[in-house]
Amino acid sequence: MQSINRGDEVMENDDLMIELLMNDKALVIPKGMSLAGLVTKQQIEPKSVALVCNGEIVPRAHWQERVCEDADEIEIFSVVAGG
Amino acid sequence: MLKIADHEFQSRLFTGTGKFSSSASMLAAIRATESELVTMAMKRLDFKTGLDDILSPLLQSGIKLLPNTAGARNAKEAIFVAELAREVLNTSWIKLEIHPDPKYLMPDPIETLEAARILCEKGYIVLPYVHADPVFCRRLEEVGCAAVMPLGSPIGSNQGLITEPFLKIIIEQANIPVIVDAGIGAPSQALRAMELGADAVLVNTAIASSLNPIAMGRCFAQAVQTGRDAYLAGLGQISLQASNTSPLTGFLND
Repeated sequence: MQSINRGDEVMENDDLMIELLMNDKALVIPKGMSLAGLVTKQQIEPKSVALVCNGEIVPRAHWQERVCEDADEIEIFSVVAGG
Repeated sequence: MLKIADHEFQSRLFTGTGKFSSSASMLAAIRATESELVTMAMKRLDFKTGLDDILSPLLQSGIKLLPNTAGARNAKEAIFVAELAREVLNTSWIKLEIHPDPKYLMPDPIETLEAARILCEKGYIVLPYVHADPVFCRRLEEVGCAAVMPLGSPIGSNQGLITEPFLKIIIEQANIPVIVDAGIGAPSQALRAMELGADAVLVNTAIASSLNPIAMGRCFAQAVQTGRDAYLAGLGQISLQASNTSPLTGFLND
């Protein structure tokens, strides 16, 4: 958590927050947030993406029940133009 | 009518969605081609640029989507991309392409065969991008691929049907559809591929890089239809010597 610079007030709530990586970007989120919540928080249209958590694809049907853990490495893939 | 797996296509022109100057240009050009199958790729989302908004208009248009595995350097990565694509697009169709060398983008046959075998076992509809190798195309057919997609020349090169003699052999031998993919740079080349008996062609760069992609899309549609009609009509035999088309009565000397 040392990479995140925050005030004392927030620091007191450290045990309520976790830090994970999303497409290599560090992200601090509340403990207990589901993958579905994470996607919503990032303002991403869920139907447009696939999620990979620690190297494993998580089917969309499981996003709601899958709770983010500290140090999770999450990758988001989307469709782009291609030949 | 062209049938791949259980899906029937009226149009034998498939198109790629890459390299267009804008999403609007791409959509308009694809409409002009009357394509019923378009390819797309999978990529890690870039938060700076956000989502590429090509998916929803294509879905609305009712065109069938064929995700590819571009960027995969081996069978394992290609299978992973196929699974990602199925998750996003809810399709088991996959254009399998594994080309680790960025200069010529030549498909790796060893990795492609391995990935094709595994993906077919998992129930995917596999359309592999391959070199124009008749023996290899048969091997892909044996492992259950729904079609083969041999190249005319390197991807995006617009060099046309460099591989023509080998495409002819592939078309002669295949029991699954043959889709000539990559390198088709002009409508005449698409026509030629169809005239030889290809079941379909896939065109992207030639349309996307045209000054007028909509007009070029239309030209390709006409060329593919003409080529198909010519194939069905049957091309005449090629002979090494002349064969008179008018009676040789020799009356000028009489």
